Amino acid sequence: MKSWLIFGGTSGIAKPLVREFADQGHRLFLTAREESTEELQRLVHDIEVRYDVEVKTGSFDALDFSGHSAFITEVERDFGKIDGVVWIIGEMQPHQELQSDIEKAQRQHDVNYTAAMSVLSIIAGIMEKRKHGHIVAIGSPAGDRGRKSNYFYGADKAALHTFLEGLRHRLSRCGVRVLTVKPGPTQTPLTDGMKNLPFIVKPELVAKDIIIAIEKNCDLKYTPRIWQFIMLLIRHMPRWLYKKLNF
Amino acid sequence: MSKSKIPVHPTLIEGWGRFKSGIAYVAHPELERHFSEIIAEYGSERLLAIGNGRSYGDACLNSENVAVAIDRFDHAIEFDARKGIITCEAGISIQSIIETILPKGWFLPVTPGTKYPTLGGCFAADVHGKNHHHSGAFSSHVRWIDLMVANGEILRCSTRKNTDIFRATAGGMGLTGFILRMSIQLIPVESAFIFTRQIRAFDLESLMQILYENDDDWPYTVAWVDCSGKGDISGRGVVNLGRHAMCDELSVRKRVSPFKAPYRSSVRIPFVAPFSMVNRLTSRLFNEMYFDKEAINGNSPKIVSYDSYFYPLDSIRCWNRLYGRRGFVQYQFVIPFEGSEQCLLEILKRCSGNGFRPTLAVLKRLGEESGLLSFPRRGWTLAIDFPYKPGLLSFLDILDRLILDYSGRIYLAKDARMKADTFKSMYPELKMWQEVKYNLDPRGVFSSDLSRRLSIFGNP
Repeated sequence: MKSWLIFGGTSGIAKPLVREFADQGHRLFLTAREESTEELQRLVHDIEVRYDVEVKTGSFDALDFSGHSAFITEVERDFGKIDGVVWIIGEMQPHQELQSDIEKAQRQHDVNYTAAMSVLSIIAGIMEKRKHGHIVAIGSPAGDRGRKSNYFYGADKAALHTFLEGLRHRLSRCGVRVLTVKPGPTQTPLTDGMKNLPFIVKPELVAKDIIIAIEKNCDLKYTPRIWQFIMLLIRHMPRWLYKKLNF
Repeated sequence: MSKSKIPVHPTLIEGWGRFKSGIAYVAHPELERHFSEIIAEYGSERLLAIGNGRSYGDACLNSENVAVAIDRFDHAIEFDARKGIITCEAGISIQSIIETILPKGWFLPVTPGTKYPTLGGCFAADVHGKNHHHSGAFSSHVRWIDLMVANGEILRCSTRKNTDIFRATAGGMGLTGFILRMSIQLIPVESAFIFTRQIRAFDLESLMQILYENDDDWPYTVAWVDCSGKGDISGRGVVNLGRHAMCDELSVRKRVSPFKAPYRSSVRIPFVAPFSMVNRLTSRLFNEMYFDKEAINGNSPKIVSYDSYFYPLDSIRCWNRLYGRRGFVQYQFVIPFEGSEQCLLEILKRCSGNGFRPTLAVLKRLGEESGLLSFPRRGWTLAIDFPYKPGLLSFLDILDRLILDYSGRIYLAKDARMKADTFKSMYPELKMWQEVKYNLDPRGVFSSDLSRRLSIFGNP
């Protein structure tokens, strides 16, 4: 039994992931924005009925950077020492709007990257001292290479990827594991209404893969696995050819 | 991330038989208020709640209209471990609910032959299980439901309150509104295992006799009938009897954790076969092997896990793809006991004397009636799978007339091809149902391909 702190408890991937964690008997602390408290409570009831585990919740504002440190201290005081953290917070605004609305793009960047950077830095500091812990964050194959229809989101995830890479490098000596998960398109509210998404999967499958990756102490996990091969090709594609592709 | 509008996207939806399909605009509501927003926003079009798409025909289709997928509305709400009452949202699947309640010593009172349907879908089709003669249909164990009707109001319906709406929604194929939540009375069990016995019968009469004789002693009874052969062997079959196993009947190893069923692996048919893998040869082979398997095993009782007992076909995911591009049609009817033997024999004769050889047939005795449009009534029910072939539909129309002559009826959750006037004569309580429907939803907002094909709403 471990204690997991999950940021973004109402996201599409969180629901099945939280159920998987609970099924394994872990204690859980879930966060959500203030306005989603009711929705989060619904998930808590679900977990309590289905599994015999302790679930706590707290409201968390990703953009209130100065409050992050206090939030984590408070969670540790209420909930006890944290063994692992999962960062699922993320958003994807319509790309066309971001191209002309830089403020909006910046806000999205703050949610997708700056907030993660801030929180995970604090967590890393704590775990480094304890020489124990697991950090899991949700990246995206979209961050592997800029694409004309999605490069704001892609850039955010690329930043997150590089940040986690560095964090992993720093923490690898002291037994703290850092896992970057890169799920392909998943049937969640994030992708609702988008057309023709390739290899789209259910979030339950992504959740199962994340659990396996944690158990195996993986560093980087593409899920479903086909994205590992697709992105291998795309990452190594010469630029002259990449420019000609229309996707 | 908060969007005021609920997005919909066009998606191809198929009935489980893959014979009927259509493109619907699918929405995925997550919160209760999303359902009322959908009614407010898309109420001028036609709406239909869809579960996991396990009905065979066009009951889960709403072509060119809005289909409201309830898969994200799948939270457990409350569980009373002392009384065995679970309250949950309608999008939860049979599998998921069993995984929740079984370790606590409870089981669903009625389960269909697959673990993938949602509870909302089970109630809407008022499904029955192998224990219908004993326990009745699914809706008889539902204490109440929360139904969101066309004006956005949520009504709590049960056998005491809003009784007519409850009876119209049980078996109402989702046409009365969105079923949001329900509360179910569970049954206590001692293990995850089923004590089962197989008996072979060499003709239809003895098969029916065995089923009849064992009705009182066994809660679960069903018979597989071999219809793929000609002449003598047509109508032979295997009766399968079962009950929940007691803890002390289990082997010592299983007794350590009686609620832990062994892991069951499954394969998935990865794509639709270019032509039907199920043809005269393979179905002959399968039926022959199935019949002989029981001879090798003998009559001795066995203890098997609930999973392989109730859901044998679920170990092959997407098995419907085996039937090839044209899909298959499942034909399930019930006929009253009086004179039924003659009718069943007649149907078997017509099947084997014809080019439309069924692949699989299942026979069972049903008990009491429940909802206004619920399928079950006292009598024999036979479910037959036909691979689709040109000409099959007119053949089934002939069977329809035969069944009408014996005052039987056809199961809406399986049907994809019945004629509207046949349907009217088969469901005597339709007029009452139409009245309830008209009072709840005069504009006919909740509708489906099925309701349009059969003109269920009538002309009030």
